[in-house]
Amino acid sequence: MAKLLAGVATSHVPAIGVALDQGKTGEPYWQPLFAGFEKSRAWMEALRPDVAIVVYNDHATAFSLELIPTFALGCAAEYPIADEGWGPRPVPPVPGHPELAWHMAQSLVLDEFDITIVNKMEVDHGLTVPLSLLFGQPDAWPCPVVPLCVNVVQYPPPTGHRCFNLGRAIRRAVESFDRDLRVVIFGTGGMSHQLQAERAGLINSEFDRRFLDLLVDDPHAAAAIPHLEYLREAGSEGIELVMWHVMRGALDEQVTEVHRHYHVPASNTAVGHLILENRGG
Amino acid sequence: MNSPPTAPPDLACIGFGEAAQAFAAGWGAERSRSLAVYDIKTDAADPALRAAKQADYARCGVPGCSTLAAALAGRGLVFSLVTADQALVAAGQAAACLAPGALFLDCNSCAPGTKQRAAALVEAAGGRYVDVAVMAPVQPQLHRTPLLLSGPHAQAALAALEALGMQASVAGDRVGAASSTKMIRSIMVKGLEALVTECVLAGVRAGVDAQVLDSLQASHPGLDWKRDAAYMLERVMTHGVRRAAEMREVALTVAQLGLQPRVTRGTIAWQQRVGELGLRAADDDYRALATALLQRLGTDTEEEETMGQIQDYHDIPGTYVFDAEQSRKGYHLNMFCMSLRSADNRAAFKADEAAYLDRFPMSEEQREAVLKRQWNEMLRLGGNVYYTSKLAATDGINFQELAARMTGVSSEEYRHMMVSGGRPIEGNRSKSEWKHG
Repeated sequence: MAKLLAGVATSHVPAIGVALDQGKTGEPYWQPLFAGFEKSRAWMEALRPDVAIVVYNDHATAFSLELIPTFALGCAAEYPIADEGWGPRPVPPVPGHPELAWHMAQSLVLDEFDITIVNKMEVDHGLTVPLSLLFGQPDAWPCPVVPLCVNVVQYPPPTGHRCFNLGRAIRRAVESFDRDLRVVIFGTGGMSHQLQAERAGLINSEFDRRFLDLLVDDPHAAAAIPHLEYLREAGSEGIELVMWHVMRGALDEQVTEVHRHYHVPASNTAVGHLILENRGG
Repeated sequence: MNSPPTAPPDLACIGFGEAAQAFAAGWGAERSRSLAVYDIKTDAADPALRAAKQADYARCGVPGCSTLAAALAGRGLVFSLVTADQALVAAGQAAACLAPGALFLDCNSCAPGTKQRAAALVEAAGGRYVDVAVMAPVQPQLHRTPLLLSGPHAQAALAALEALGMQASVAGDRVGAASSTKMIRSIMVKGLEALVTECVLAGVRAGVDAQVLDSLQASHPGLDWKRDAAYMLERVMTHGVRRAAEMREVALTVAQLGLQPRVTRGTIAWQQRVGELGLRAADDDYRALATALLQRLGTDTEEEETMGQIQDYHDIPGTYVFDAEQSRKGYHLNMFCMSLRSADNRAAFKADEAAYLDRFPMSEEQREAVLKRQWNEMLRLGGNVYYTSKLAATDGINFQELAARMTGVSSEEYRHMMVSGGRPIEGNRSKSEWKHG
């Protein structure tokens, strides 16, 4: 049977991708941010998962206002890298895992999560920046990916509680898959940031640090944070943090915090990062 | 009659609704037979709509054309009689197939700015654009309904219309003068209908309608309140959706004058709500009409489209939450931005921004905000930053520079703020905290 080993939370700021792609990671502005991911890459290298489920959001790339799925699960064999207006990032296309993804799709729907099934999708920085941060810059990604795309652009996104429960359903889906796969799950986006209008640039480190603590130690309390609080305290785009609850819901109630990193700023955003392992291990 | 000696040129009509049908009836059978008419309803997906329009043609004895180009070929005098929200689209499409020098009479009730844009399209194609305002209901006067003309070709249009036995006068040589008159008059005419609707419905439901109308009759004897209430209810029920579209142009006209169209917003809401019910006004008694309406409305909790609901997050300062209201408002604006993901579209946009924007039926305000790169205004008008950032990318502006522009500081200042820990949450949670700033 497949096994869910660990969860990774990380911001997915596009400027991080640009810095990586342009070889700027050693510059004083970027160095402290990337230093916090060195341990993470070593951890990932040692873990060598068979599949990564990446919970992220599309930024008006694959989906526009024509079609807004709240939860969309990628079941394709491969995902091309999108041109987000600056040309596609110079990273390899993302291999999918159709067998696991289709199994998850069926399991989730029967588990009463009516997700949208996607067979063709370009992926943007929301998915590729976390992969770069954790896998470095290889010629081909070391493991296949199951993308789970969550709407956080059109308000309201799903509630934290709903996301948490989706994570639990994902755990059940993965662990009922009849192959010995070792799986990690990523929750991406956040932390506090606002990209729009006169309040752009908002950072709330106090909120962010409290959120990190709560997510690790009291995930139910974290999942109960109402949308208004994200909008007000973490900025209009900080509400991306709901996606971290999907990751957390897929893990055990009690987890081991392997690594934590927090840095301000990357462009407009506070960057947060956690690695959490299930204790059953 | 002192009509000029020249015969009127061959006529074409774009749109064959109530106004066009009334004009045709007034011009008479012979002239109707020589008309060239095109209405987009004949291309509708719904066969019932197509059939109904063909039936209109047959009943009025006018030859319908299957394409706009066929209707306009060789025609010297073109009447555009579509709905307000389609007027600009119609002008743009007509420009492509207008006979050289043809007079294009834009008789739609649009804001002056919309007419000026339509004029630019028609004039660029070699047509002669005339701003026409229809100043009264087309029943019962038909083609004798007073028209107001403005623009550089208003005198030429006046002569052509007089040759058709029509009643027109010239308001000036500037496109927009006629439509301003009409728009500002509509605040009252269509606003009164909305007021009467609200007053009569509330009166009937409260059981005091007779007392209210009798009292109004005593105070304002210029109207026959009960009879006029029935007429106005009928107008709103039958034409509310079209009137709402027209009143959106009125609201824009008011806004462009630097005033808030507060009452007009309410007018739009009533006209739209009642018009959408699609009830047939089968009675000429106001109380019967009101009762039928009340039955359909039930307990009316429908959101007022222009006001929106007050949300808890509206108190957050300097923030536009991209909710249902904003998304509906901003659909075309955002889809325009989305189109800029393609390099070909970016090139087309850069080559001629105004022409490219014509592909997207966004509001005048949205269009202006795009052309002037008013980033916050775009958000206020329903834009979402993940979409508007695609316009920024087209200009070579990244997210951080875009943020600097939205917050009104230089890129250096913004970057410095971020490196110093970002904009603090203290003092930025509530609009009440910003009032002292």
